[in-house]
Amino acid sequence: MADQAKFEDDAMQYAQQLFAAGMRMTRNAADAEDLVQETFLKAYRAYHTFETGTNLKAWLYRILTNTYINRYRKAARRPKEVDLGEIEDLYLYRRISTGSTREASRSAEEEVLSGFVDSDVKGALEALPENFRLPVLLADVEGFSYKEISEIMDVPIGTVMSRLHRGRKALQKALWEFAAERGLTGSQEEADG
Amino acid sequence: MGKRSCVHAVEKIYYYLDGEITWYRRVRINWHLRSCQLCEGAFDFEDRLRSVIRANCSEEIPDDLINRLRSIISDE
Repeated sequence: MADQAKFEDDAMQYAQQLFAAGMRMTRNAADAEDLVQETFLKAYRAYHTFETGTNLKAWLYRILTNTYINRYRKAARRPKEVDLGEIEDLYLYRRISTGSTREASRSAEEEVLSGFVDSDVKGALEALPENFRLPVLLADVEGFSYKEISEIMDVPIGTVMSRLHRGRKALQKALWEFAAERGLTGSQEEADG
Repeated sequence: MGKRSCVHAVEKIYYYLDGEITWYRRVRINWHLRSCQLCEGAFDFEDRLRSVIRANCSEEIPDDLINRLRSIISDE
């Protein structure tokens, strides 16, 4: 069991990441601050139940996620399941990598990838419906495994995988739209927009 | 990416990049990627895209919030 007196030393290193995740969840700074504050309070109070040697980051994210869900989703226990429609695999790659040689494709890819700015990426992620946004955030930004995400979100691992898969495709579609808006796709043969 | 081996590789692309794949499957995909530029390009692109996503999602935490977090702990 963890020593509560050591909570500050152990947990403060994750504050910045938790705040960034809170921003993606709540989509605004004031709510993200409240969320992180409440998370820390709960984590501190429960720290004696944390098993030393297990994954502290995952434990903190579980509290963050639960707090977010309870606070911002009071009305319904489950989020409204939003259907993203059919989006093909490798959505971005198929649109960007259209060069006649591998070198030409590679330079087109690089142009788009290096052209994205943080507001594109954050905007695309925040545009995802919550049931897709959380798994994509936890996997692609935070680097958690499927099993950890399943525990953090309290959903079966199969659900994590299918939401992650569909969420990533939707994220790519949104990124493509940002890229097109900013003229990053100009050198491509006009795809289907 | 029309061949059967390509379809198999692309089906497993996220499991591969997520590190959620058996050692044996990883080796088989690596073999395929060595001989297929299109798939190799796709895997490489997805990997770089993920780095871009990760690199662009950080936030500066307000000093004020750090102070409040510390005081939560000392006040309790």
